[in-house]
Amino acid sequence: MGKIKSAIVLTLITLIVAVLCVVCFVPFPLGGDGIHYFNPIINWADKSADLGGYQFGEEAGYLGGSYAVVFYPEGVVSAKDYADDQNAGTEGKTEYVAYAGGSVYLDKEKVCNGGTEPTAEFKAAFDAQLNCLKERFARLHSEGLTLEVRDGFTVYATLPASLDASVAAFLYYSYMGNVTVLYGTSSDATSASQIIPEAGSKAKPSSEYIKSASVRTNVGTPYVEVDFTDAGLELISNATSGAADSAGYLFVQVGGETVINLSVSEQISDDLYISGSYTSDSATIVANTIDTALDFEKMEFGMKMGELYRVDGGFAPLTLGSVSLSALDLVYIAFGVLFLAMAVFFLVRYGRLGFVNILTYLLFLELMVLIYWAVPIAIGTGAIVALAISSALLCVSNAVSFEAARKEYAVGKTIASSVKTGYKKCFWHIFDLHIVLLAVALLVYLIAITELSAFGLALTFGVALSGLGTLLLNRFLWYVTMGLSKQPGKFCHFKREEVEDDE
Amino acid sequence: MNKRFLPGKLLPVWIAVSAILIVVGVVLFSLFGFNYASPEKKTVEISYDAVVYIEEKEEKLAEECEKVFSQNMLEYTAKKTDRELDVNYVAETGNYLLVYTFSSDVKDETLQTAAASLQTALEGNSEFGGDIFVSAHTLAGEQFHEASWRAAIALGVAAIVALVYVGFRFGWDCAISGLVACVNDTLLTLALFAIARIPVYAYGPVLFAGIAAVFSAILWLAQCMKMRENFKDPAYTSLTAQEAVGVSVAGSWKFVCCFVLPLAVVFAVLGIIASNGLRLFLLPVLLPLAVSVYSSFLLAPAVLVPLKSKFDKMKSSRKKYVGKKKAEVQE
Repeated sequence: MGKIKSAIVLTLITLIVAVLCVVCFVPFPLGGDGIHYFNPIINWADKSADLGGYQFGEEAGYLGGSYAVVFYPEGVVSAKDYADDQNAGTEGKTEYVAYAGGSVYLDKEKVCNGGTEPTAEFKAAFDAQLNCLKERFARLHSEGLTLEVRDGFTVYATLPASLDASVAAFLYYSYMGNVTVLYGTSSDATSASQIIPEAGSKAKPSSEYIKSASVRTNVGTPYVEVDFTDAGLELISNATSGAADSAGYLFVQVGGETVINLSVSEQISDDLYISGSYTSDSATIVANTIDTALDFEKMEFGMKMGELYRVDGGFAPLTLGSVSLSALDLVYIAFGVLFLAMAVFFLVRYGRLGFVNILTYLLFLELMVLIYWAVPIAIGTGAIVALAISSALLCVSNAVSFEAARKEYAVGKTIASSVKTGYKKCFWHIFDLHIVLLAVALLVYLIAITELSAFGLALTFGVALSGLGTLLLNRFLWYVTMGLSKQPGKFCHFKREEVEDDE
Repeated sequence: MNKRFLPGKLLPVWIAVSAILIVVGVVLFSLFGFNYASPEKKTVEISYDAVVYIEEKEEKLAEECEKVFSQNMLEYTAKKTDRELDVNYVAETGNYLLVYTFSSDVKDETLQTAAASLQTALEGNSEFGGDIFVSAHTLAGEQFHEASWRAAIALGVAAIVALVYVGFRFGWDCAISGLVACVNDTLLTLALFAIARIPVYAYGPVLFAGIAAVFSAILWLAQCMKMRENFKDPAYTSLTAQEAVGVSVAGSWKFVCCFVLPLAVVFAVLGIIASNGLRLFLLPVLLPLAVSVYSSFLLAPAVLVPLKSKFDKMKSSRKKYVGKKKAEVQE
């Protein structure tokens, strides 16, 4: 390639890298009013519960973190609610006993049966509630969720803010008790009649009428499927037999709280397929609530959700004097240090050829950020480690190809021939390494769940981009930059082997 | 002639080293288990309303809290401020929760006393408004086992797939040696975690053992690549399997370091500079990396030598057989 052509192509590529760099990483004010900001892709990308918090202006946008609530079983109140209750007056007040040093208060009659310690029945009921919550949260397969027993009889739970419908999950998952199905002619559930379980002497558990509830998708649209037994289907079919003449309303409740509410305009004679405004996450939450309630039917106590909190990144931020660094800041600094070390190494060892690696790496990094945002992959421990590993892989592969060319140049070949032979010689090394890592990453993504699955997905993209970066982009950029130099060997810090003269 | 590195001769030594470490690890594990980070933690929560936030008294409030904690000889491990949200609109209500986390070793009574003194101190201070409430809590984390066993299976399957690839590309003697190295690294990593008492979360040992298997497979792949390239060199034809493997492994340290060093640097720098959560994962991950370097340089080549001799003999006997057949046909 001629010098002018090389200069034009290199300038264009550098411009693309620079523009992508701004789009991906650099926030800047718009309009000069101090209100509007350009939000770079890295801010738009989902952050896992480990990272995040509001950073670029208080309301600039969502930046990760998680939501947290405390679940209180019926008959258990927080110390604050107890104090408020005491201050509110004395008439008709429930009597409570302090528990766990006054961290929570227990209903003396309901929970302690008039004593000061919780009864065995209450403890068993709480264990059942805890297991039900654990099952519901586990089925979300979400990274960054935590579940902790607090003060013996309450449950502290967090869900990542990146999970669509986190708040709905807390609300629905607090519903404990029997699954019931009601049918009526008004949209008000209180006026509807219960059809499942059958009332009176024939009463059986709901699991005798409903087999399961699950999420399915049809052409990308998620819906909830409620699978009835023959007995359940018969009851539903009978109840909705007049729906074609006058529309009715069907309610599916868990612990007396409505989780599905739909209008019925024809007789239901098959399993119930409920579509509508569900997202994949919200459909999963509804289906999980019903399905787990069928497994944990005998709940003696209800449960309620306490205050909802927004929790910023779970990692402890670092404070240096007056400067407070968030978890995300620390990750940026770590990557900055590694980038500098990489740039210095390549520039010292390979001279101006080092810029080829830097350009390839920057383009790789920007594409990875775009992929994290577009897929989306929540940026957390898994995604960061995957980025670090694939960055190392790209730089090592580039170094291996440079070294292979250096060896060829040393024995007297021209630079063009050295590059060609060098790449030919190291191609299978690079290919083997990438293909094995790609298989490892894909398998980890497909088999593992939560954070490790995100790591697998991020590594799959990282390894694929690294392979393409080394074998195509890096070679192309080398070819282009070579056109700018009259002494390509010197340009790359390559030297000929000194041949000893026998004479 | 230069003294050559003969890996096969040292096989009993590496087996003994691995066996001793694994046995010691098993004994320590059965006596004390792994050094699991306690799933329990204690907190003191201070809820306050918008008055403190609007009047920018948050720092003062934190100072007051920390003063009371130090008076009660308490040292917190983490501090955060959560924002209360309205459930219906997911909008901020203006109420906040300042949460101090303490080690699980702190006595409940000490924490309750500190919380009570703090409540009195804050109530007596008019600058913070009236609506401040302090409470102490004990939290015990619940484990989700599905994630752990699926992670172990995923990494195990990935390592096996990598070894099958090694088998097809570089020969089954290499794949078997790699498998031995993977199993050794998995067990050795678990043993070293038990011996060194490195604090890990409940999922930690299984995850790190799986990572060791993957690292082991990848590093052995790198060694196999180098061996395949070297064995094409005519200088290697006169060497025995023992010598050829030894010369190739001794000369491949730069090549393998190309993979190991950048990874180690990335893990170490990220682990040191980045935040606590990442550090808990990235610094212990250096252990499986070190173990896989040991097995790819020492154990796996030592296992490969007898296998390679046997496989080479089988190959040459097969060649003879083919020759005879050709001769018969010619007759």
